[in-house]
Amino acid sequence: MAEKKPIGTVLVAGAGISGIKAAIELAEVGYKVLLTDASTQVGGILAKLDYQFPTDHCGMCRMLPMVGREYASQYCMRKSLFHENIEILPFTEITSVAGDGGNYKVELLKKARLVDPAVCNEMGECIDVCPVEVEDEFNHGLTRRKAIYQAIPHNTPKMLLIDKQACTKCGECVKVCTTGAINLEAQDEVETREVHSIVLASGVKLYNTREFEDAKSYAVSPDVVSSLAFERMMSGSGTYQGDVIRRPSDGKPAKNIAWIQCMGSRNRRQNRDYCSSICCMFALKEAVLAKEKGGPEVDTTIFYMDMRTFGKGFQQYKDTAVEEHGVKLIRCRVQGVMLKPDGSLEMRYFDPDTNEFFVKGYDLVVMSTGQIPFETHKKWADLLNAPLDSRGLLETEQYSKIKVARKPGLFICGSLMGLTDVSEAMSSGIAAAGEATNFLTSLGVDTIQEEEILEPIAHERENPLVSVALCKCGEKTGADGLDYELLSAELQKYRGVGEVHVIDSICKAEGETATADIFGKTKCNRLLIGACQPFMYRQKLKNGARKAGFHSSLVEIFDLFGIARRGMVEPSKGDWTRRAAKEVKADIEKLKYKPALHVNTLPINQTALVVGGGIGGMQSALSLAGRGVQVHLVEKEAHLGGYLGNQVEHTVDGLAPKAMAGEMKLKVFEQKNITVHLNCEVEKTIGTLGSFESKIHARDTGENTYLHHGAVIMATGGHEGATTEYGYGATDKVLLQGELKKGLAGGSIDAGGLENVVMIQCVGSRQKEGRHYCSRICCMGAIANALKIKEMNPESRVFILYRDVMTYGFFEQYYTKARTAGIIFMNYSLENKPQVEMVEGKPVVKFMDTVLATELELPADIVVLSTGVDPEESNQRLADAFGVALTDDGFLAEADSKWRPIEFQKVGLYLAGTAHSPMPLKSVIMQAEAAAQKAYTYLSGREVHSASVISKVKDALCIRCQRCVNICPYGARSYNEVDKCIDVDPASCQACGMCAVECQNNAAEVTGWSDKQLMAAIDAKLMDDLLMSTAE
Amino acid sequence: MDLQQGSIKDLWKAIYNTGDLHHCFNCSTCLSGCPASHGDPPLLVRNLARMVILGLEEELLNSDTPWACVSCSKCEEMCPMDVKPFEMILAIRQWQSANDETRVPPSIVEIYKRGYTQAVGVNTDLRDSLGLPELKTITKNPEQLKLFQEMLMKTPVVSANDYMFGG
Repeated sequence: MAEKKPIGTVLVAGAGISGIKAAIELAEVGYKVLLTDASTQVGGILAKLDYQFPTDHCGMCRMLPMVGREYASQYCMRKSLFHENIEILPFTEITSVAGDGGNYKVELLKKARLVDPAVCNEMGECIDVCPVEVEDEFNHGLTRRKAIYQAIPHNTPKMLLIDKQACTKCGECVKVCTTGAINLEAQDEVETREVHSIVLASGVKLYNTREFEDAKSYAVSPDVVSSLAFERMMSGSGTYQGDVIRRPSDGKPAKNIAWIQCMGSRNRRQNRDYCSSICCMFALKEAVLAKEKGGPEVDTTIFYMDMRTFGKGFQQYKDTAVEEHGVKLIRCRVQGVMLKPDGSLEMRYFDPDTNEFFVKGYDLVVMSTGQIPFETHKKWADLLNAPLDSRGLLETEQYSKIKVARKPGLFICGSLMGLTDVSEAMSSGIAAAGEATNFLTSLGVDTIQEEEILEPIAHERENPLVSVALCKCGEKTGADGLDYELLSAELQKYRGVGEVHVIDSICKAEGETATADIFGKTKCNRLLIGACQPFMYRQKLKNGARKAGFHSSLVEIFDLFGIARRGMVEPSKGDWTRRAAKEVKADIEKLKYKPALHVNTLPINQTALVVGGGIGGMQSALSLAGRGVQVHLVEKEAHLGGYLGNQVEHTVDGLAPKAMAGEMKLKVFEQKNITVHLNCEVEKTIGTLGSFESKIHARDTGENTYLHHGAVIMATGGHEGATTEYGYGATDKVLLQGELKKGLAGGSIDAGGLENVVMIQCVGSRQKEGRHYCSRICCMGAIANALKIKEMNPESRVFILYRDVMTYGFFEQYYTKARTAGIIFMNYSLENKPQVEMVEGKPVVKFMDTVLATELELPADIVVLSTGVDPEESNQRLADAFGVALTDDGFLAEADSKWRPIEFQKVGLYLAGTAHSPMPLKSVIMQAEAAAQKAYTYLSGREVHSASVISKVKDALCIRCQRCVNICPYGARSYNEVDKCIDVDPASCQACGMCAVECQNNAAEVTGWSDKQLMAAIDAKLMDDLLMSTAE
Repeated sequence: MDLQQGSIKDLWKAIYNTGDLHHCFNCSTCLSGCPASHGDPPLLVRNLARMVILGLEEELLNSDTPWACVSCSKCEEMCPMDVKPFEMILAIRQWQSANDETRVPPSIVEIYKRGYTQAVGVNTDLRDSLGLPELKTITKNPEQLKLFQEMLMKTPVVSANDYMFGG
């Protein structure tokens, strides 16, 4: 008999968004995940943010799985996360790690919360009686909290805990707690767990203005706050409950707000010669929101050094912030904030636009604080015996941002790679899950198989009879608690109710027995359960009910305590019971008319189609093929490698894309699971997740092939942009960076003969006419070439004319290196571009030096243009073939720029690399790995189950107007040309209900949310009010 | 200005040959809080760094602004790139003096007269209102000032130009 294989288990250390994403992706494949966080709750920094650009809203829930969403209970992600395969351990530190990849023994220190969240009924009376008040760190000390408290105000469950340092052990909270959840003597627990792989997603320490010397001349008053504190000042759950932004010192509305960039970052003097990557966009967003909240009279100014708008859509956001919202940008790093004797703030700055000094007063100054990475990296390196690189960061494999060097099975993601924005946190989380899955696959461990419970017959044709089970929460409900007797009697009388049970603690063992007992005896065919935390026990209770014979779609669970108390000021026992009765009646009505819902099973063709044979495409293909998935790799050119793999010898960070692509090509041709289709383009694709059919057109022979596959990855890449500016094309003395790179490598350009070289950045880029985006790699590319010239000819002079140097993150070190090597960087503005004239066969560059405010001119031997990256022209044909959208710039439009960066709205289609936006080599590889993982989640099984709650079409009522097709945000609806009807793709449909709202004929409906049900629920509530008012 | 004609590529080596200067990325920190930037013409430290890097010899030789520096060291303290701008200013002064024997910085006259380039003895009322002690400047001690002036007179730059010092 074959030995039973262990279930693959992964520790994800850090439950910020990248950790959560990695955990969800691993759990979706079927691995067991331990998700720990050193802080008291999950969510990381994002728990503090109400708004993210570009939408300036939250959107965390968009990171949840799109298929099988009923298994990862879909609630607001800022509240909490629930997934059957994820064990969440907040307030847990990793104290030691023994063993190696495949066999880690991890010692966890589970800190005592002193409040047991499994027992706590969250009524919060303990908070009311607690006499101790301290600064609330969640609001950065701007508000105060009790010693017993809820760490995040919007958490569900509330997860109360006691601050041991602050607690005086007076015992008042213990006295009022009706459930016995508080134990002031509870001790920390140590537990050892075995895991196969570890993903580090802890983020890094952030710059704290109270701690560091160089912040002293800025942090001079309570009105100087950090950018995260400012976020809390804007938040609906923050300092001012979402009201206008005020000065912490005196509570007056802040009308004039300034941001200071690079606080703590880009500082060689303090050994922090790096950029924190996210602060420019963070400040822009905060400035826009401050304007929106406070109205036009609010003045916002950002003091910056380089406005690093390098990501997808960043440049547009910046332009809108400046042009439409009136956010002022001033390129000056101020020396400090002056505190006037009257408490007001003042800053003196030099305005390079006017060449004048100004002294201006501000109500509030926000410091854009960045990362302090070295401490965190050192801690992990010591704990895991992992290598640090020369900078003091965890060393990753040469071409990977994820895999820790020489430590198989150990991966990093999120801000541990350097502060990342949401999009990169998502990609890296998925990619880390991908690498861990690769590793677990190589170990041969198993995945968790879903428990097969036979779905009982839904007696939906019988008269509905509802069994109501109410949890009494330990029999110790306080004086103002629910009157269960009255409530039961009231509900017993209600039409359609078969029986009412009151159960002591439905969540505990004795409650479970009682529940099973009721299920066994009942004659009812529908079940309504009222409990305190329906989120936590949903799946458990549903499974129990299913075993007892209830069809799972005919079981509803509701929040008995929250629903009744919400919005009531100091309710009396009677009020509460009355409100509860009304709410339960409405729920009964909704359940009575609910039809039985069925899960759709979609067969999966375990084959992937990868479009584009560049480095990204090859990486995705190799990753999937290595895990046993069949891959069709389609490339429109006659050879693999793409632009990077064929044209670029070396990068600034010492990588050799061309050599690397050469090795990958060999691997691709050796890999038997990959079929390469060269000279081919995809013409048309039809189908849905699991069963697509694509028509492939061979460009050389004209032949058409039809491929069948279950998922698609688009990795179409890009190429160096074209230009006619600065005399390019008219003389060989003006060339592109790519041409210079090749010339230097091939010897056709002799660096020894170059006395003066001028490079011009952002040619045709970051402007509305042309490439309205930053290509992200050109600053690094120019620096690499400039350093090469200086290396070959130290006597040469190299000038780089730039608008903003985009050496974000740890790329900053190459900018510093370039300046040290004597390369001269000069800033120019879009309004005052350099001029190139040919004089006696030599290009003469004329430009304004903004520092000296002088017109300079220089006869250069060569002028080199950084034209950026253009998307492939074939993207348009591809977008048409797959029915996906392009951005205005011609790149593929992902489902959500922050939360779903590598997916399309349509489930089963993914994108990677420059098809998304221009990015450096390591980011391409990371995205390719992430896209492979997304596809693998579905391709690893023979079938997937869609959600049971999806929209449907009542065909007899449908007039085929297709308004629902156009409005569906998930591309789930389509017009079937053959059968002349509307189709709904059950995998893509997210049951948002837009179609039901749009449809004029009521032909579109979300199952389980019919008009009939909702009308009945409303009637029940109105009827109750009517009866009450008549009685009074 | 034509950089080919008007600049000397390696001038920085003669003026301020340290590894620090080239780190400058023109962030303007040195400007924004500089007391001498209030002068006319203002001392613009960032611009001096740029002139040294570009090798603008003539402009540098003719600039009086390095002598306006009041040695407060704020730029030195706050420079994120550790360019050590104050050191650079001293280096520029030395280089100017070494390369232009006609340069007699007007600030030497000020120093001769009152021991400082700036009028630090003023603002006594403001100091008093802030509870700061009175500054013990050398002008308040005529005997020592006399000794100080005699000492200065022994230096070649002062004695050779004694007409400027009331001599």
